[in-house]
Amino acid sequence: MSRFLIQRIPLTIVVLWVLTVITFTLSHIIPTDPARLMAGPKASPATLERIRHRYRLDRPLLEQYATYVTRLFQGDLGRSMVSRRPVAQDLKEFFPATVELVLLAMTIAVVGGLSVGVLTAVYRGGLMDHLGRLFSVAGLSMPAFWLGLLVQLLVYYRLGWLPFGERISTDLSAFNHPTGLFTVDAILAGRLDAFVDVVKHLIMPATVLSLEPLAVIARLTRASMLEVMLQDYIRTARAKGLREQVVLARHALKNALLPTVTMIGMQIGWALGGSVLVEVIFNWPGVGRYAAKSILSADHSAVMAITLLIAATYLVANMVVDVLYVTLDPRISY
Amino acid sequence: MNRNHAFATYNEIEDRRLARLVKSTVRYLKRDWLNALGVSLVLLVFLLAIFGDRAAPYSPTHVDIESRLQPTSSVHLFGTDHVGRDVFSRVLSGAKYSIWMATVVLTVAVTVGIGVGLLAGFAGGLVGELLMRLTDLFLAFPGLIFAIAVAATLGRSLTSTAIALTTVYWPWYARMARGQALSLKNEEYVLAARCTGASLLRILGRHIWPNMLPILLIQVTLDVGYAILSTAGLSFLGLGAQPPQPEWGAMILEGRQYMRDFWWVATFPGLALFITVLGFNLLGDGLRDWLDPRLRKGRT
Repeated sequence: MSRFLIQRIPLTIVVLWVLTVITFTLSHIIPTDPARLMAGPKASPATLERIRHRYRLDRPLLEQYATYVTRLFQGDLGRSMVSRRPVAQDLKEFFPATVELVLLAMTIAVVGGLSVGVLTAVYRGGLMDHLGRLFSVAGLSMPAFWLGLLVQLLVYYRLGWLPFGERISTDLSAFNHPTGLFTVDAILAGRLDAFVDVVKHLIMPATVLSLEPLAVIARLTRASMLEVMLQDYIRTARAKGLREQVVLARHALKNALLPTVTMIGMQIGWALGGSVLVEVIFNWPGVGRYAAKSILSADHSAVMAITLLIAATYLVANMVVDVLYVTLDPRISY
Repeated sequence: MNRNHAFATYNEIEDRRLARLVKSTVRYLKRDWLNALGVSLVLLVFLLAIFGDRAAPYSPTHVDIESRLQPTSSVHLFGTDHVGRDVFSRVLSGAKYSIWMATVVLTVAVTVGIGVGLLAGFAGGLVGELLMRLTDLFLAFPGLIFAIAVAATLGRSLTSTAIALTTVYWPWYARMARGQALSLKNEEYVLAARCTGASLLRILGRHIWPNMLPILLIQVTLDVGYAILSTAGLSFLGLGAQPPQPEWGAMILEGRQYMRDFWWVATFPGLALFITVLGFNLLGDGLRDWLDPRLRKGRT
C-alpha cells in the first residue's frame, strides 16, 4: 500500500502540473479582453493599460505562467477580477458549500442506488425489477436543471415546504463556522435549530444532484449482483443452509461492490461538474456557481484556480477509491 | 437431378435474410416492453427532426407581443412564451438541433477516439503510452467543467458547443478502442492474418472492426442521449444556442425566470428533452441486452 502511494502521489502532482499548463493556455486564448471586462466598455486606453499592468496582463505569456506557478506554491491563487477579492478567499467561502452539497448528494445516491440495485437483482423479472429499471433509466435521462426548476416550482413556490437559495436562514446564521461545513459547524456549536435549517436548505439541491449518480449506481449494482449470484460460492452458501439475507449481504453484495466502488469514485467527479448547473438553478453559493460566473466573465485567475481545485479533488477521490479496493478485496495489491 | 430445386436462388437467399431480420426485430421488440418504448420514442424524435418545421402550426420565431405568456389552450397547445412565440411550434422545431448536434459530436468523437485508441492498442510501446496518457489528461477534467471552459473560450454558439463536447467525448472512445485492440490483437484469427502477410489496415478493417461494432453501437446509442443533454445544459448556461434558435436548453433558460407564474414556458421543452434522452437510453439498454451474449445466457 505504501509503495502504491509513493508511486501514485508524484504521478498525481505531474498530472496537476500539466493541468496548470492546459488551464493557463485555455484561459489566455479567450478572445475577450479581461481588462475591458473589468473597466467597462467606456474605459479609456490609459485605464485599460493601468489595469493590464496591475494584473501583469501585459507581460509575455511564459512570464505570466512562471509568475502564476510561483504564486501557486506560495498559496496565492491571484485576484478575481469579478469579485475584486483574492481567489483563495472566494474558494475558502464557496468550496465548503459545494463539498457539503456533493457529500449529501452522494450519500443519497449511494444508499438509494445500492438499495434499488440489490432489490431489482433479487426480484429479477418481477414488477420491482421493471419499476427499478425504469426509474434508473429515467434518472439518467432527466435534465438536472429542468428537474431543479420543477422541484422548486412544486416544493418551494406551490407547497412552501422547503426554503430556496442560500445555505441557511439569515436569522439562524449567527454562530462560528470553523470548518465552513454548516451542518458540522451547527453541531459543534450545539445549535440543533441551525442544523435542521441547513439540512432543509440542502435537501432540494442535493436530491436533484443525486439522481443521476443514484441511477448509475443502481444499474451497476444490479448487473454486478446478477453476475455474482450465478457464482458457485453463492450456490454453496445456500446449500449450507444460510439464510438468504446472509447470502446476499455477506457473500453477494460484498463481491458485487468492487465495480460499484470504482463507479462511485467517478461519480464524485461527475457530481463536482454537475454541481455547476444545480448550483446555478438553486442559487447555491458554491464553487459550481462561482465557476460558471468566472468562465463567462473571462476571469482568468478564478478559472484556473477552480479547474485545478476540482481536478485535484477528483484525483484524490479516485486515489481513495483505489485504497478502498484493498479493503474490499484483500487479494488486490499494488 | 433437377437443378432448379437443388440450389436456392440469390433472390431466395435475400428473402430469407430479410425474413430473419424482420423476425429478429419483432422478437427484440416483444422481449421487453421497454425495448418497444425506446424504439418508438427514437423514431418519433427522428420524424420530428425531419418534419418538425413543417408540422409546426406557427413559425417558431414569429413574435406576437399581444399574445405573450398565454397558458395552454386549443390555439396554443403548449402556451406562448415571453414574446408571444408558440411553445408547441418551438418544441417541434427544436428536435432537429438536438439530433444534429448529437450526430456531429459523436461522429467526430468516435472517429478521433477510435483512431487514437486502435493506434495506441496496436502500436504499443512508447507511442501507445503517450497516447493513453494524453487521453487520461483529458479524462482528468470533470466533463462539464471542461466543456464549459472550451465553449466559453471559443464563443457562444452551437458550433463552439459541438467542438467543446467533442473534446469531452473522444477520450472515452479511445479507451474503449484500445481495450478492444489489446484483447483482440492476440486472437488466433488475427495472428493467422498477420502470418499470411495481411497489412495493419486489412486486419483492422476485416477482423477488428466487425468485432468492435456491437459494443460501439451500444455505446454510441447511449451517448446520443448524453450528448443531447450536454448540449441543452450548455445552452442553458448561455453558451450554446443563441436567441431566437428554438433549442430546448435555451428555451428552458428563457423560461426560467417565468417559472413561478408561467410554468409552461420552461416545462414543455424540458419534457421533450427528457423523452428524447429516455428513448435513446432505453434503445441503448435494449441493444446491450440483445447483443451481449453473457447477459442473454444469464436470463432464465
